[in-house]
Amino acid sequence: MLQRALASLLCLLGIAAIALGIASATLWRPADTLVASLRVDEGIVLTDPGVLEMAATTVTVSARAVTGEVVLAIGRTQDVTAWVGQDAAVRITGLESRTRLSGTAEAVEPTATPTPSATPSDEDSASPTSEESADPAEATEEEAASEALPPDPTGSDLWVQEATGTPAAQLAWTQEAGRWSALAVATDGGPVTLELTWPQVVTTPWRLPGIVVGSVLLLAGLLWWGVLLLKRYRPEALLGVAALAAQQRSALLGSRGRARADGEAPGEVVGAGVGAEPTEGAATDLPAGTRRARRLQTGSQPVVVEASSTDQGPAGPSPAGVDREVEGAGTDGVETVVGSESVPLTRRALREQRERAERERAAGHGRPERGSEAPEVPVAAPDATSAPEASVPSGAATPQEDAAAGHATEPDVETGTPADGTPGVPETPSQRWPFTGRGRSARTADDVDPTPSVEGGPDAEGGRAAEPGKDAEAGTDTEAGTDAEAGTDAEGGTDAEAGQTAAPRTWRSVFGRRRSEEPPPAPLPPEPDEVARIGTIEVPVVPAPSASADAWRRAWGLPSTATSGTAWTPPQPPVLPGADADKDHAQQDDAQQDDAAQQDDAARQHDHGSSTGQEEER
Amino acid sequence: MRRVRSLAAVLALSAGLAACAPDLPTPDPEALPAMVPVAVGDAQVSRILGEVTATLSAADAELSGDALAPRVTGTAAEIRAAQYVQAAAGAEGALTEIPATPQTVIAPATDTWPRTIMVVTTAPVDLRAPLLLTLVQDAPRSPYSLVSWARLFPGTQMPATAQPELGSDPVASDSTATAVSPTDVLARYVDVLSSGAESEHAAAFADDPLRNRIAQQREGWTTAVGEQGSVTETYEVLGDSPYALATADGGAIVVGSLRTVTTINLVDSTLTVGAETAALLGGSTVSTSLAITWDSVVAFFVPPAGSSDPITVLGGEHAPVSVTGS
Repeated sequence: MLQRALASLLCLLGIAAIALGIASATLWRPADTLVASLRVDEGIVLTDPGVLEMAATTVTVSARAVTGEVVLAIGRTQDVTAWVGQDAAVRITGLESRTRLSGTAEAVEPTATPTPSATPSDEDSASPTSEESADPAEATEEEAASEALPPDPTGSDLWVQEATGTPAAQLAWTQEAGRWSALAVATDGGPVTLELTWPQVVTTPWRLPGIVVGSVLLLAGLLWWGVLLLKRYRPEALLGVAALAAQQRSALLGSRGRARADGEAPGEVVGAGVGAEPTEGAATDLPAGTRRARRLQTGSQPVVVEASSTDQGPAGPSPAGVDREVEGAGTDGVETVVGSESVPLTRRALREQRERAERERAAGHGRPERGSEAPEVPVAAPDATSAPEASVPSGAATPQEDAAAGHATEPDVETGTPADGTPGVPETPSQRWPFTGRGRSARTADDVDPTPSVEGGPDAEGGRAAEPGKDAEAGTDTEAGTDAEAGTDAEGGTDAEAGQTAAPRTWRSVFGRRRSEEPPPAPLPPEPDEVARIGTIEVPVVPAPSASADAWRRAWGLPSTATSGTAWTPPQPPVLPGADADKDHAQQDDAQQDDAAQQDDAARQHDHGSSTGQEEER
Repeated sequence: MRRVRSLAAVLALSAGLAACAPDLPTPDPEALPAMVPVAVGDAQVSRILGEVTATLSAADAELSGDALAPRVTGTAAEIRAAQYVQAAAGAEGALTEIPATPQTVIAPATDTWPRTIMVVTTAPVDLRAPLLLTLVQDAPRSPYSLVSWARLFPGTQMPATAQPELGSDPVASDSTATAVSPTDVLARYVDVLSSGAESEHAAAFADDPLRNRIAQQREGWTTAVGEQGSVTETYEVLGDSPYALATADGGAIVVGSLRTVTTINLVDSTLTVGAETAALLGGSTVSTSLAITWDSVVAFFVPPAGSSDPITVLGGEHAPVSVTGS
């Protein structure tokens, strides 16, 4: 406590010293002149030798009378003192303060032997003689009143400088060899104020020392504080950074995933919620385009997987195709999808994902957690794939996801998945192949594919649909992503779906208990809000889900529910205005999720005691 | 321990900050010089000369001797006043031209009074001799006034004197630093004037135009009166004491005034005087007596003590100041 106080005091002193140093050069900077004065009530004022030059080699002497005329003169000291003689006079002996002269009424020291004969006899002649140019009448007048009035130094040959003024006179004097004095007399015998003004060389000797010393003190104080703080927190910090970090990471991951899932789909179908999670994990990892794709994938995942799970044979090649796609696309999203397809692939994908996640973790800051999240998805996926009832939930889930995906402007993929789920299993394998290939071609060439006409149309359209809504840069990404996802979706989507029913436990085990508490997935149509939220985070919204669904149908050669022409063309006009609003929603959503995650984290970390708070501070 | 150290640091800092008030400057006058400095500077001398000439020209314009005070006093004032009378009577060239421009200034190095400044003026335009002006300040509150002027004789070389910035020491009237004290110089000169070659001091003075002139004038009057009367002339030192300033070699320039009174007593005859004298007299003829008072200014160079050189007269002025007669 004392140490803290002293450290604080040091800081304060440092600041004060700096302030004083600066103030000494600005606020308190001494004046450029030294001005001192003295008022003498009556008689003669004269300065001692050296007074004129005591503060500078040049001086401005000024005398001011209250009323009437004042005579100011400078002469050799012996002359001045001799002139004053025995008259009442105040000698200025120096400075009393920086603004006041010190004076003494003592008689002038006899520097020279006064002429004995001259003084008495000349008294009478002195006043008239000084009146050289004055007319006789005035002289006689003066003579009459000479006793009451002080002698008039005007015109004396003794002065080297002389000034007369009413009521003030001023002289500038530059030092000369010898001893010099100034003399001032008010001719009416009134008070005289003599003022001496010397120019001063102003120095600011405390500026630099003040700043330097102050800085040093301030630094020392801050350092001291720093040391104190370090001392206090170091033990805990050292305790188990690694262990803590590991624990917390896993805790964080789990809780965050949970939180997110909760935040995202409180009342939704489980499958959809589950599906959303990997999306998020992947989304954070990926660039905007891929992230978008990811989201869509997750939505579509449940749907297609079913087909792949049921159809083992075709599933074999499909992963390869998917893999190829993955390589080509270079997106994580594909991998997660792939992972969901089959067990061996999933492991490989898992490994890859882990590696990638690790790489990312090493490279980036926020990623590790999310990256690690992603691998978990595939883990769950295998379980899900094995679930036979996947088809039912998938159907239930699809509409929602569909809607979301549809909003996300990847009508083909998402709509495809639900369609997949709904029409039946058999279709998926056959469609998968062309689709993946298609996806690749679309990615690379971005033009019409040579492969199946049915798919080519919607795909191309889907690509196009995505483009307008998104930024130009994201366009290609999206396409690639969508294609890849479409492919993977077809396969992996089922996993998630299957997960809905079969996976609760696994999901729960991975993400936490909360999920089990949630109401079972209900095959409800997506709330508009929900849809917008999910779909719009990164992808422009397609006005009506039905349109995308229709587009999908058409892409797959299914009878379209809506008029074919309108299905996927309209995106452009309505998309843009809605996108913003949706974005807001998405942000809010994100925030909610983050909040939830943080709460979760906080709850987790509470176990570690009070140290967590400090850690967070750091 | 740490606390103590911190406190010490704080105290040191505050003490350091508090000590930043600069000292008050104090007078540091030049020490009193071993040698007395010059009492007047060039500027002052010029100003004084200006005042004097201004006064003179003002008085000249009025031809009023009353206007000469206080800048022209003593012998100079008397002579000038007489000149005004003469000038008023119509005498041409009665006024001695007094140049205002100094050629050499012999300033006093003194802090006492009276103070004497001697100034050798430039030659007037009419190629007459330059003047040696003597300016005297009797008291601190008195102005310098012109007390006398002397025409430097032709061929006179002024003794070397100290630079005006240093000042020349005043020489006391009874100084023994010179071969003859200033007072004695004047007295001896008067004696020589009175006694002529018979004076014991005659050898001490070289011949000078002033003495010759006085002698010639005396001879003239004596000759003129002849058997009809008698001519007597008396000489006396005028004023309290001569003014003297030391020269470079230790001698002195001494300026004194003399009064010469020429008294003519006529026996059964009349005397017609010249215009200049008549102006002072107020008439041109006298029948019984005539008294002419002359003021003379003499400037000596007195060699330093121990020197065997004669006292030389540098210049002088001799002019009637009053004439009475009946």
